Amino acid sequence: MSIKQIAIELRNVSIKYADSEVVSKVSCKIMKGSFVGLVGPNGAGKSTIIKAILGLVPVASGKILLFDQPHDKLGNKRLLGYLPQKISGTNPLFPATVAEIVLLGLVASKSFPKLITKNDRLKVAALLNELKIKHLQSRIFSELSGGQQQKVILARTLIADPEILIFDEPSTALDPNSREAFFQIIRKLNQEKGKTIILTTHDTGYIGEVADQLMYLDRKLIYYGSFQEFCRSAEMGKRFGEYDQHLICHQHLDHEYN
Amino acid sequence: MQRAFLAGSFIAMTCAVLGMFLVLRKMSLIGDGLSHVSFGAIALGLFLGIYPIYIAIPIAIIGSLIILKISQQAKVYGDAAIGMVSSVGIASGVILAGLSKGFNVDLFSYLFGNILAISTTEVVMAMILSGFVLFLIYLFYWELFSISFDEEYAQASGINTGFINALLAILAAITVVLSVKVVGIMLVSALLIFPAVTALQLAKRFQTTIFFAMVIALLSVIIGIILSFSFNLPTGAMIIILNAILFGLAMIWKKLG
Repeated sequence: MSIKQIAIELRNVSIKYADSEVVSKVSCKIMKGSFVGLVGPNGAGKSTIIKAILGLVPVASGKILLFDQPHDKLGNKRLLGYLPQKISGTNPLFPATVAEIVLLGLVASKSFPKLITKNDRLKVAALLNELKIKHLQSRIFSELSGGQQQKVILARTLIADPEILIFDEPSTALDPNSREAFFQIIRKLNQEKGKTIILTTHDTGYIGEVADQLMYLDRKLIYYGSFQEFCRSAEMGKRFGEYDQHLICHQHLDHEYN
Repeated sequence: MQRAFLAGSFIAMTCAVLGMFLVLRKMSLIGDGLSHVSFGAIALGLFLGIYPIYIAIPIAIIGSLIILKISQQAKVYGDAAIGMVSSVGIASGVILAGLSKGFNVDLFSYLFGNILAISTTEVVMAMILSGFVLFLIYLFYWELFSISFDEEYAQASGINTGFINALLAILAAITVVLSVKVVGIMLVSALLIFPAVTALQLAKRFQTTIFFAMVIALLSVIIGIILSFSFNLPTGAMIIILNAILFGLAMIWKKLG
């Protein structure tokens, strides 16, 4: 059996906005191939810590390593794929087609001048086919439904084939059907392609259905480990109340036996 | 008139392409702001006896970068930053005009532009600078596209958004100064905004939208020059009115389609 690599390591990471500390001394190691559900109340620092992992927000102290390398040593290597919280971060007037938007996922990894080749277009067509949205490729992005847009944005992330995928509240814009379809794709990426996944949510109800690790953040790291351990832990029961603990665990067990 | 067609066409295409990115980034009014900075710079050029465009380009670039810096770092909205820098430009121009008393007529000609009076040197300069701006947009097209569509993602994906934003600011400054000759300080922002907005009404894909904007800008400048020459009317104003008509037609087309 091969020794598992550490995909993401946080060493005593603190993050400040203005002068107030929003994330305090978080340390953890996320192994390659894990599916981490990152939960916590509003304002717990979930989005902030994700942005720090992505290199969008500087850390006040501590270190973040991706496959043993700090951000500035990674260069053009695209280890990280990011699916933002809101599709509304995109410009609604923008007249771009689905195929054009997905091509944007390839831009960063190219060296100068970043020009798109025929091969890139073929790659995009193949991926759209795999995600079953090939029929949308010439449609204007802003005219699609929320669920379709989410899939296009997912394709933009996946086209660069990143090792680590980070999803920030991906289900907010989705109806229950699209949500289920969306999670199926993510599960497949984790189980069949071995991608490391972090998914944040404030809805603890379903996280156990998809993730195998639970990370509970409330400015500090309250818990990081397997769902089973979380469910057995008397300390967590005390902290969350038995009802909430049961809710997270119950969903997880459902998934295990189905 | 040939000179006017040549310079006008190059500048029109540059405005159309750059304007598309500015409009989509909600930075349309930067054209207004920078043209006001150019007013101050041109007044300075006339005051010092230096050819105004030479001094206007570097000053507009500095103004543009200051707008970018203020809106990114201080707690100031982008539109407020444009308003601040733009008014300083106008104020400096007015003070310089007051100090010299001699060049008000010249300065007035820059307010409304006069492409029919463009010199051969100016045509060559307009072609070189427009070509330079268009070439840089071609080289950085996908990065400009990415930050205009979704800046946070662009940054997370590893694009140097600081550099691309600064590049856009610098190219905007060069384009604005060039356009002053065509439509004048008062109407520059219209040349940046109208073709882009009209093309957006007809949009199907991003690349075709940019192409439409270029065609619209070219049409308006060429027909505008012909009409103004034939009927002895101000060229810049004519070009803008044509743009407004084309926008109206695009809206009707969209409604019918």
